[in-house]
Amino acid sequence: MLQPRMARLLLLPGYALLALTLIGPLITTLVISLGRRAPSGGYETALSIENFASVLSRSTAFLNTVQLSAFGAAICILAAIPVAFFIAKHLKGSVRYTVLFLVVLPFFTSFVARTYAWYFALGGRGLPAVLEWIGLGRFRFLNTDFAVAIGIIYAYLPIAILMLFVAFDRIGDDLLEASNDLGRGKVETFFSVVIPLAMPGLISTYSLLFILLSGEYLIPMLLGGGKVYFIGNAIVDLFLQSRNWPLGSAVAISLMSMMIVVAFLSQIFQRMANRDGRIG
Amino acid sequence: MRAFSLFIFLFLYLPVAVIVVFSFNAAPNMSAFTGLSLRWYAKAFSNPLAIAALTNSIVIALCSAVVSTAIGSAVAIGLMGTSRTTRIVVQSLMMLGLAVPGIVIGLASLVFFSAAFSGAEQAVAMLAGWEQAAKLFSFGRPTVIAAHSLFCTALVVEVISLRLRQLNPSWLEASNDLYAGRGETLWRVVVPFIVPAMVAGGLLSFVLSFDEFIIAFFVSGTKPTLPVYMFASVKRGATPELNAIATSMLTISILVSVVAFSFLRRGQARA
Amino acid sequence: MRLAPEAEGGGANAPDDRTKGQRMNDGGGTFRGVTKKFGSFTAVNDLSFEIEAGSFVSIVGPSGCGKTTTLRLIAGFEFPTVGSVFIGGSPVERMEAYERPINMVFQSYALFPHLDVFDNIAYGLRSRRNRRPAAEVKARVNEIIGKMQLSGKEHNRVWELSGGQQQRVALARAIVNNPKILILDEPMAALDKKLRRDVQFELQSLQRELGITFIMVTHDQHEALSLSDRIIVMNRGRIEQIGSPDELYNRPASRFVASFIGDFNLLELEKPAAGGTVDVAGRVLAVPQERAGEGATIAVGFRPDALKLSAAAPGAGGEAWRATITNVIYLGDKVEIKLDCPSSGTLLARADVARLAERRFRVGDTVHLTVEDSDFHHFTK
Repeated sequence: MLQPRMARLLLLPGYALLALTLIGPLITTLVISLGRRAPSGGYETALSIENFASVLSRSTAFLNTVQLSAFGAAICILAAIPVAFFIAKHLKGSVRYTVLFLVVLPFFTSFVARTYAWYFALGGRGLPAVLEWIGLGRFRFLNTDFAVAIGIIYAYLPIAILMLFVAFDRIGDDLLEASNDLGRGKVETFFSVVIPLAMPGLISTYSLLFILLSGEYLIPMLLGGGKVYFIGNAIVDLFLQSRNWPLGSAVAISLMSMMIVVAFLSQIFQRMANRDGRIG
Repeated sequence: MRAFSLFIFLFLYLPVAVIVVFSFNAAPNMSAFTGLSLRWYAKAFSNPLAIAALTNSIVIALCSAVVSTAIGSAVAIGLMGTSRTTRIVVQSLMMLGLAVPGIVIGLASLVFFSAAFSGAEQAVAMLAGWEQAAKLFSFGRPTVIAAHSLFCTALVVEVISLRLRQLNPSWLEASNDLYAGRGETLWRVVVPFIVPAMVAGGLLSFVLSFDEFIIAFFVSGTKPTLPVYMFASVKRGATPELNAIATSMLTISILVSVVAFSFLRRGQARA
Repeated sequence: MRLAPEAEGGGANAPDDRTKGQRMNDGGGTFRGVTKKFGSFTAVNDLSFEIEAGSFVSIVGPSGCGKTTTLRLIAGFEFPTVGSVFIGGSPVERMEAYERPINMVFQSYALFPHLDVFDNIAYGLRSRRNRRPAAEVKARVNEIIGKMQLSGKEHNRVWELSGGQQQRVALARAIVNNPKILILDEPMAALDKKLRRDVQFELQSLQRELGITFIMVTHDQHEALSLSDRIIVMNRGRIEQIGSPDELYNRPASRFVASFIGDFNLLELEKPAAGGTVDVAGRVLAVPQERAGEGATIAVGFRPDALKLSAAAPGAGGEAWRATITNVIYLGDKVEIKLDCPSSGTLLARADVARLAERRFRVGDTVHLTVEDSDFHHFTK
């Protein structure tokens, strides 16, 4: 319905934006990652892959990130499954969408403010003070893996619930009823019908969470006090403190490569799950 | 399952509720709740740094919303009339803009704009022989707006494309049949149909840009946005003043989100 | 000649001319050798026909026969690969839909969801190419709203209306522009069965009153038979037959038409006609004069009403076959009987219940069959 000439014209500003804010920056980062740190910090022209070799010196950050992201994403999914299933299959009409909206709403509210809320709640005058007052002894939450894990789950649970809701919502009620009718109880039906059919959704949710988590900086910084060291922290330190742009860029490129691999694997697994879960 | 869902709800809302409650606390320190007061709001909003950051954030969010709604609508409509290949390439790049973590976009924008600025300054200095060229460009509102416009535009394209998928192709034929040409049909059928999605996309862009931290952290230069200002303050410890600022931020984003989602739903109902 | 109202100089009074009986000669349509290909698929193949101005024409055929493509070629949503289309004598095959003096009622109505009833109907009169003064728009839309019994619904949202009301809005939105041709794409498809009969009568009256050429596509042959002046039967992108309902029913030109329009008992011949006669399961029939020139008869057949059943063998005058009743279906005033005939396969008989009252046929009964020679149709294609 649209003339090709007009369509091209409408797409022009989009191309400009993508060039200015996505393609240009990513290519620049790639170029810089192959360069050398200028003596006073910043970038000096060069062509070598030695920065990528030095990335290995940050392997602790990578290991930390992968571990906590994998763990955090798993906990997020486990916590999200019952809630998403409850909303998708037990709530009806307007209640359903209101509840879904309330679950998703936090995702659209200030990330910093919400993380700060946990900083406050887990800090000296928050939960530890309450626990000590009850007489359970002295606790310390802030600046631990535990605090970072809580923060991560808290931040990304809404998106996990939303994505799983979509996956569960697609499964027709008639399939569940058919399974019940064929003598399988609710729990058995859940594991033999719902989970296999939702598998592609579960995989894509897990990989998205993993990708989002592994790019995290704010949560480990605030709730981990910089002691829980993520790749994000390494990147910020390299850029803003030691001003080693080439190494920072190399770390960022490595991070992105890792994410691309995860996204790619996720596609493959989804396709396999789709084949298994296909009906009719 | 119902009980667990309730627990998750509490988990999601309780910490926020605590912040909100303590932001109205009259006590001078945060050990106990002693009564209602607005003193921390008064203190927070008499702090010129906080005010500057808030103004900064609002201006940036407004500009990002306007830019991304305009570009995003044009792209979403334009995608209807292009080849499959173009559509897939553009959509993938937009998805990439949403999926690449903020920290990568932030540092990539930092190095890109630095390189572009110094290149442009050198060019000006060489061509015009102007010594002061080195201070022509700096990081600030425009760089944050540009970087935010990427993921905001991607979101707007997504929201509007979703809406356009519900557009019945026979409405376009009916319009043609009733003597309206292509341009007129675009203006009288397509645009009114996507207005709710445009408004929702714009409002969501505002919220996302207003709340965004890590990209602004890299490219806001010496003019922090409110989240960046808050982050810097939190590193020095929690204060009642911060509670007040956090509550204000939450209020703004919740209000705008609620309006945005109501527009999204209104659009759904009419499809 | 681009738009009906302009071409007729002040559109609003154009229908008046028609109702006076002066059928305007510019509402006719002609297809001349039209072929439409989509890639390697030929949707419409060498189509030629004429539609008389002011007539009600239906295009029928099974799904995929090209009837919808034909409609879209008339409306201007498709352009012929080869051939010409004329509306009122002028070629339009390169004109866009918005340049043709034709309006359409879409299958799902395609009412604009963001506009109310009034604005939907006024849409065409407010288009840049067809813009009328605001006062005229208001008058014409209000008049049509009254005519279509939509008064009081002017400012309702279209999705709040019932299916029947939506259809009337779609009709109003089209005819308010005084098109030379009104196209209806399966107009009854979205209505429930009971409503359909009423709407068919309304549509027929409306067409008589407006005198506009109506071209309707339908897969429902009953609908086509009851509404149309002429019917175009299509199959596999070609025209099988054009004729009045009576001609199609009583003088089908091909086996396809005979089977598609109404029920039909078709008997394929093992060997084609020779020497002016055909042999149908031992019965010799003379090939009628009008078929003689068309080539060898390859099949014969008869309508279910022509098949008579009797328990006893008929007298010397009629040739008889024997068959076993497999199903008896009561249809209120009629009864349909399915038979298994050793020589001819499955046959269908239909008769008035009253006529059969004295004799109750039961499943399993063996009966004798009689068909008059004159009730046989002969087919060469």
